[in-house]
Amino acid sequence: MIANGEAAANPSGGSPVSGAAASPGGGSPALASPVSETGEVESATHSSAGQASPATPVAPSPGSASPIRFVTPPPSASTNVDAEYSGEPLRFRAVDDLVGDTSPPGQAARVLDDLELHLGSAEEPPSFAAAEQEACWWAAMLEEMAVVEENRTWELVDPPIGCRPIGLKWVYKVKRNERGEVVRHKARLVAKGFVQREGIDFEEVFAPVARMEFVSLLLALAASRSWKVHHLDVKSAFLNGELVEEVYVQQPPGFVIASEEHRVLRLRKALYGLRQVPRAWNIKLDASLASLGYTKCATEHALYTRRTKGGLVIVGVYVDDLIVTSTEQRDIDVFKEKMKLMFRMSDLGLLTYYLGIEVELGRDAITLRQSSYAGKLLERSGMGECRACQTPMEEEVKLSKDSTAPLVDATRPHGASSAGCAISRTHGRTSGSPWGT
Amino acid sequence: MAEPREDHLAAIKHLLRYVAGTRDYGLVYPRRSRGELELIGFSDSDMAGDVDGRQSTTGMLFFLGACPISWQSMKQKVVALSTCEAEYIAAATACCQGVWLGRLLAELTREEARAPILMVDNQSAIALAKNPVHHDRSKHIDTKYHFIRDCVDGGQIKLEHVETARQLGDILTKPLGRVRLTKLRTKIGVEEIKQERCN
Repeated sequence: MIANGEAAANPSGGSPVSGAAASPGGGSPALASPVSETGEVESATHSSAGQASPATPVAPSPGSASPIRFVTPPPSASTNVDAEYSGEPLRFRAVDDLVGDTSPPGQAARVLDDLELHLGSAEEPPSFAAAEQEACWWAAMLEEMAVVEENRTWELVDPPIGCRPIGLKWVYKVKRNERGEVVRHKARLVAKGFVQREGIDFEEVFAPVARMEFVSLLLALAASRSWKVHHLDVKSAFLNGELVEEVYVQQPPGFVIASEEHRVLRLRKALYGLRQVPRAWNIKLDASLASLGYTKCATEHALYTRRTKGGLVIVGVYVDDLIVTSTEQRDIDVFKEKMKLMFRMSDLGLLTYYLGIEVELGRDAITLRQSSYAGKLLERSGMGECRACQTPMEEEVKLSKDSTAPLVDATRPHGASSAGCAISRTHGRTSGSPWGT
Repeated sequence: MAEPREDHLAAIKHLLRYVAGTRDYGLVYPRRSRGELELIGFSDSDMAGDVDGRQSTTGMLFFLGACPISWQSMKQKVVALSTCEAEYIAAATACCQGVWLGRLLAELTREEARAPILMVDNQSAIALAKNPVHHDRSKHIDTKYHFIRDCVDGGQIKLEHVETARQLGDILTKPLGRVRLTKLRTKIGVEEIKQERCN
């Protein structure tokens, strides 16, 4: 609910420098959030309980000494309550007042000087309010909006009764090259899928992905048969997924259409962040590959094959990463062309990097390694400069839960948090990232 | 893990130091296929390697020709009463993987599926898998592990004996000394990969 504040930040849209920090209390009743007496908004501001009378909607009392101000409820207040609402009195606060100038609890307010602000563009801004101050991020957001519009992702509708639109949020990412230089600024519009509830907002979320064994089997086979292995990536893959459910979202922060503020967007295609999206994308991709004559393998759902005159084309799918190999180079090219007609693709050429594994397709061998992942892991655990050793574990050591050694001092920095990463060194990819690869 | 102790932290650091020493190690899939492409698996287990629960550790490893393609090292879910039983459980786990890989390979090559070979270093476990014997020492083994009997019976997997010294799955079941570790590591196709070795 608090997140409404972002939607409020720049209702006029367009201008990169329009006032993000709208004047507090500047009359934004539509943004007020209903909170039950024990609601999270109130506890978030550390108010002392019982400050206002528990009577139903309390009017704002600007003159009072109380640091908390309540506002008149919006007309739609009674329809916006939770399903769990059981009739407790409601109080309303303006979002500007809630998130206005105050820094989050536990953090000191910090004033950035010019230099820091300038450097700031090399880092991801934490919020829309911060991002809209910079032209590079505006450009990134416009780019993302153009993709979304081009996709015909949504249509503006009046909110149906009982509809609770899902909030949207901008997420920012600086893309760097291998040398760490900033290559591009990327903004992604994501839905706050965490408010969706299973059985109500979505049914099935499962989407198959390629197992590591399958990929290595494919590479081993390609090595022995001298097949070429190519790598393709679908840009903004999840946006292609088609939604079967009715999903309504709020208008994106910064792009709220003037005089249409009360209307919501009905999604036709998927947005990042929605729970059912990976599945929706997979279904779409499955249908697209089927239309090209590829059949899904029953033993591995991420494997698609197609017989051609010359031989066999094999496609492996990992969310938006496709690896394609064939006996005939021509068949690979044909596949690429056909995919480009259906999706926005980037052709990454011969496979070099897949799921965190560095692949080298050499003349006399295909090699796989995870040097950069190992490097990152060591760096993160502060062991970058450590002395190497020859064995992963001492031969006779037996570790037990009932060890009598002193407890690890959790306040001291050490590598223990890396245990999981070290153990899973064979699978180095975080899934579900809105960034793809 | 809850309440880690100093000795656990020391083990983690040791592990990370090993990672540091093998940063440039990786798998090598040679281009020249030596003979037929065959799926060969190794399954091995230690005995009661876990100090707390006394469970054993399964290690399994599958090769396509000379290329390692699938591996796993995992604590077994149940406590085995004998080495034979621990090996039998490990073989059953490997069998599931082998059958799946065999099907997948057939799909990829569009050739008739050939039964993968599973190398086990325990004669009694092999005997147990091949014959539906039912006696005091084995009658308690959970039904699901007898899946391997079906597979052997139906010809979906072949079991072969391998002496312990040549058991490549050994590396996945317990900590080994430097000499044996290095030897086995090279044998399973893990090598140091120099930058631009291929170009």
